[in-house]
Amino acid sequence: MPRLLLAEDDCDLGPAIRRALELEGHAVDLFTRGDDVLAAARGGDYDVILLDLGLPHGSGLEVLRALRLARDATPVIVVTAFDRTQQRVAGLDAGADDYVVKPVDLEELAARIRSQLRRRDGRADDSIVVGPVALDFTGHVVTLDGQDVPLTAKEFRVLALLMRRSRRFVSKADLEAELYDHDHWAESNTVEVAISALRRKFGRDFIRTERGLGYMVGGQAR
Amino acid sequence: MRRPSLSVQLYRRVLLLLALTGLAIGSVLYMVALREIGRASDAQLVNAARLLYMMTQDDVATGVLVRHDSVVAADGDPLLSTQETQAFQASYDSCMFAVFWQGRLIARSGWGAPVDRVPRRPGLHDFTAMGEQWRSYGMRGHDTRLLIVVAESGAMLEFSIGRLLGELALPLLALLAAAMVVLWWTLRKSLSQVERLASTLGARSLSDLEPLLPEEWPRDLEPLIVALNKLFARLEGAYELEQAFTDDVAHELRTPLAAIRAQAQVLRRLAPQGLGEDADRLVAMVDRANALIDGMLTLARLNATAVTARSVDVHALAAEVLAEAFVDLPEDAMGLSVIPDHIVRWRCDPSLLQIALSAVIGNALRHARAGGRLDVAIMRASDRLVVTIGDRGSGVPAAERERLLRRFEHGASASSGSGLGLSIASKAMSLLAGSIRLEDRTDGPGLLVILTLPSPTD
Repeated sequence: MPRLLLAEDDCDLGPAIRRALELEGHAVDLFTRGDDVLAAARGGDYDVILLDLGLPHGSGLEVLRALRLARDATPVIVVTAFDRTQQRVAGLDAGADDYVVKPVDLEELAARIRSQLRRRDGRADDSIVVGPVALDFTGHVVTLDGQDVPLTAKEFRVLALLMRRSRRFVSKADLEAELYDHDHWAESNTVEVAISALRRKFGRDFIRTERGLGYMVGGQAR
Repeated sequence: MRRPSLSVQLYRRVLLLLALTGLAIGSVLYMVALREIGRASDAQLVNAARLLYMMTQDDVATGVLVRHDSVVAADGDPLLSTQETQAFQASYDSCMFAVFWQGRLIARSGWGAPVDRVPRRPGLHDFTAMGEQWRSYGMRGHDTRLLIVVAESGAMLEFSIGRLLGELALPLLALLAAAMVVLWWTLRKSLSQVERLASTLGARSLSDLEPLLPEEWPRDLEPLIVALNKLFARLEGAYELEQAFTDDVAHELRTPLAAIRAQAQVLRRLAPQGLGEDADRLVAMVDRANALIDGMLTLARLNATAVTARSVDVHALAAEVLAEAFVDLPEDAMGLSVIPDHIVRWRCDPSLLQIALSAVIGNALRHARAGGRLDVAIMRASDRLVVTIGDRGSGVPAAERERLLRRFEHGASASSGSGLGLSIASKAMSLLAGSIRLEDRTDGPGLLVILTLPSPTD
């Protein structure tokens, strides 16, 4: 069971998040003071640290810097109400692996924790997961709900670009350029052919199309 | 009424001073010259009298005048020969003369004032004759019965002064003109520092509140620089205070909302089937409150935004905003189209444009979702960029459009909006020096929001 350290000084929010994360199957230790957080992080063996920046007795940024100075590489997700760009940059520069602004959706937070856990295990560098679809670059394997789905080289490239830029629109021109690099005689409808093949294999709703914008994966409508 | 210009005022006054000084110096010079010329012409009269006296000495010596006691300068034997008269005239062409013996006229020049007007007294005298002012000098001979009077018309004097003035006028005028030009140039040159100050301040971004360095400016501007720096410091303080306040607001309001939201999500997971919907509604309410806080923070921070400009792919920016707005909607929730389907570059502040687009598109999603369509068009002209966002909702009555662009104004229909969306877009567009307009769609029902960005050179 992954162990999480939750640093949150708000007496309502802390327990609520802990409860929610416990329901997700994590073991959660809650701390409310900066110095306690630092001591616990040094002593305990945590998989992910969730850090509020506005802690008493040692702010979140100080805790984060102290951890990184001590060569502690535990993944840290900053969960804070401070949303200005400079504040995000300061948090990431201090060594945060992710930055989430309150009020955070608990399902999204759970997904971000999973992503950090995967990265810690060294799995994130060569694979992307979007919804039920996982794409492994090293093995050139794509799975849907854990089942292998055979793809052609072109389909793989198109899917890989879409998944790398998930939740954003990828224009047809960008997809053509992606194919063109490797296939000089790409025909004008190559992209459409690949997209319709991918839709057959992953479901029509997996890839969204909008006129003038292009294609997108990773939305709610997968 | 035109506002007074410092430089023109100063120029006028200095020019007036210059003219008055010139006039004063000129008059003094004129007086001095007049006196000197008068003195010189008096000396000339004395010399002329002496010359005549010497010319008459022969006759006095030979006793002609004594012998002809009663007949002076008889026709056959004039006192002064024609040669002598000519010689006198050659030396003193402007002088007339008269010679008296025992008060009787015995010789006179053939020109000049009538003899009866000439004062028959020794010394310098003024008199009028022939409508002119004359100056005379009377001289008694060694034999006091002889009186020689020489006179000169004042017109001669004025003639010489007039000529002098005529010769001086052109150089003086040239000098005056040169002084005017130099004066104007000097003034402009000095005041250009003020213009430099204005353009330096004008080129600053809103958030650039660095104090001005007094040593970079002329000493005369120092009070202004000091006052400006004080103002900058106060603005900086106010800016920091505002930022600290919005940060506090963000933290203090978001944290309890986050707690409620988290608790509601926990509830939904644990609640029996029937309560799940209520928990969802609770989450939606929290999201709405949070959207309101986000909107207010955005609006508050827009006031302290530094506006930058760079080349932006407006199509990509719109695609990004649309992706964010649509990504978690079901694909069939709303049809979407964007024209054109390629890069459209324009020079502007990307984050402000993103805020405006985001606000307008968010507004359309909230209020016109039922219409089922959103059409975005990007049009580039030489002098402006226009982005139109059209929905198929119920539209906005013309009378309500102005009001909707202000803070906290909702449309007639009750909805989940914070009432800030369009006012945020309006604020962002005004910071971009652009505009926002609400219109009816011409191709069917719905609202068309028109964002216009000016040419970056404006």
